[in-house]
Amino acid sequence: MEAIRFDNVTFRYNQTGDLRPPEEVLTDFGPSDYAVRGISFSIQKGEFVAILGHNGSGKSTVAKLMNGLLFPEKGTITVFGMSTRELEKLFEIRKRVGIVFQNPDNQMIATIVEDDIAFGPENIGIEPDEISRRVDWALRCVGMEGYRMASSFRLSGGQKQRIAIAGVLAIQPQVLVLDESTAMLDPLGRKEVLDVVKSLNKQQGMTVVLITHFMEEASLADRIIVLNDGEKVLEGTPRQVFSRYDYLKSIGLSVPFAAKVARILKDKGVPIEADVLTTEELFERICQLL
Amino acid sequence: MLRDVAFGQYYPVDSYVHRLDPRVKLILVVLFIAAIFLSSSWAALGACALLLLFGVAFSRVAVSKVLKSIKPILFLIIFSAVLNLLFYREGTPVLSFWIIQITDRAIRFTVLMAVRLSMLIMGSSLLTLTTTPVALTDGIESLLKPLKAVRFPVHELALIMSIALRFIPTLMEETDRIINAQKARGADFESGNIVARAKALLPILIPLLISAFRRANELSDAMDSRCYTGSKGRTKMKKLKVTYRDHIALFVSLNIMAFIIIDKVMALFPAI
Repeated sequence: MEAIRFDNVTFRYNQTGDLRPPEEVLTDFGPSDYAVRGISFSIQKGEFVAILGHNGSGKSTVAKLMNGLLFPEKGTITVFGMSTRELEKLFEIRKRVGIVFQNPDNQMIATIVEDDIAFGPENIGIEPDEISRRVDWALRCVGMEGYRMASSFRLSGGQKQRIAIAGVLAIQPQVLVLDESTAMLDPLGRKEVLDVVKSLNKQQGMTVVLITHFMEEASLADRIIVLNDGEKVLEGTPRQVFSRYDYLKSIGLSVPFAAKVARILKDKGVPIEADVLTTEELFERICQLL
Repeated sequence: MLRDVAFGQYYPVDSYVHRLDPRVKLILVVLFIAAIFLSSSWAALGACALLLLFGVAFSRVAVSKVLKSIKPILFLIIFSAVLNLLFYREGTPVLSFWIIQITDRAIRFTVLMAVRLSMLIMGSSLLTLTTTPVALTDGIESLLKPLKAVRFPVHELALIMSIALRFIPTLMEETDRIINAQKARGADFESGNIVARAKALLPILIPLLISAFRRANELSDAMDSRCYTGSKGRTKMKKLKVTYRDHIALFVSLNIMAFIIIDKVMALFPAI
């Protein structure tokens, strides 16, 4: 089943500060004014998709388009058969697509963990007892059972971000979008969050859209969509995408460390296939050569 | 001090007072403050102290914590005490030299005011020590509910309050960071006259304000994403419930306050 579909989506921020829709503002927009240009893709239910791109490639805009925080200028976005343009469907769309943002400090509403997680379910009118059960469940999903009564400001960055994920999970969405949710974390916090996301995808069949500029993170996904200057430039499995080393380099992206090492070895004349993703894989391939 | 208001205050233990309904606690504190200012006899003041003692004893909050709450206003208490001593002129003088004259009633009044002020602060800080900010705002929201009839945005006000409380530590941290960043760039906050110092604050306030707006923007996106559409159709995880505990607390407190009122009436009309 199709969860999210982008059809030829174009979007630009209104940079003049004018509140009228962009087509009514008589200014000269060059092609570079568009944050997103003619993007089409489809995400199936249960899939783990990474959207990869450097800063300013339009990836955060794509996230905000997914649940109607922003509306496309041209093209349509369909979420479980509903267009984000239909304002009366927006509530239903947001119940299905939850977004975790970059800065954990800016997405917590309440000081105490349980009150924060309860915010979402309270908004959609769940019964009090059920909310309490969902809070417990969401905390278990992110491995923070003991922190129900904790104050959010005493938690580490990784813990805060896991609480933010729990806050979205408590609404029981179908799709979890992570908009650079690990960018502000240290390596340990990043690992905590990614482990949670992976297990949600594998064990509960949660559809995950991971928006990132870290190659190693993107390699965890089933499929990668690469954005550059608001356009979709590559799409495929991590192996397919990261085999395009030279192209990725030309648009300012890199490849995971292992793939890079394999590539350098290959260039030096070592008979090794360059489509490795993890260091373990690289280790094995090198062992085979010895 | 702002830090304490925001979070250092809440004393996380499980006790009788902690479990009281926040609405009941709010009402009791208001009544307690009224009772303090009604008490003009030592017996009435003793009754107030007894009530406070009950509160502290059943809250399992460390006594030192409660006493410490007076610290921020200690200067105010001493300042008003000195003024009262010097300028209260009724009664018979017990001490006089130069132009200073201290009367017996001045001493009595001074002690009375100091005790009143300290009890007032201890009583109200007992409320914040035993109630989480969210419970407190929930309580206020519930108590203000009747105002909804006149279209007063009760829910919105409560939400604004809890978000403000939530962001105090975040913005404090941010302020520290900006101060350090500006110091690293050679900013000087310590020297010069008052005007120069106020001007020096500008490079702190402007980035702080901009960052607060940016945070507000992101927070609103996060709230939208989590299906926030206002108070309509919204439920609450924690329903406020008045239990036997609240009945007992109200019963005991109201009895003590009744004593204080009777004491006051008797003092006003000695004939009764």
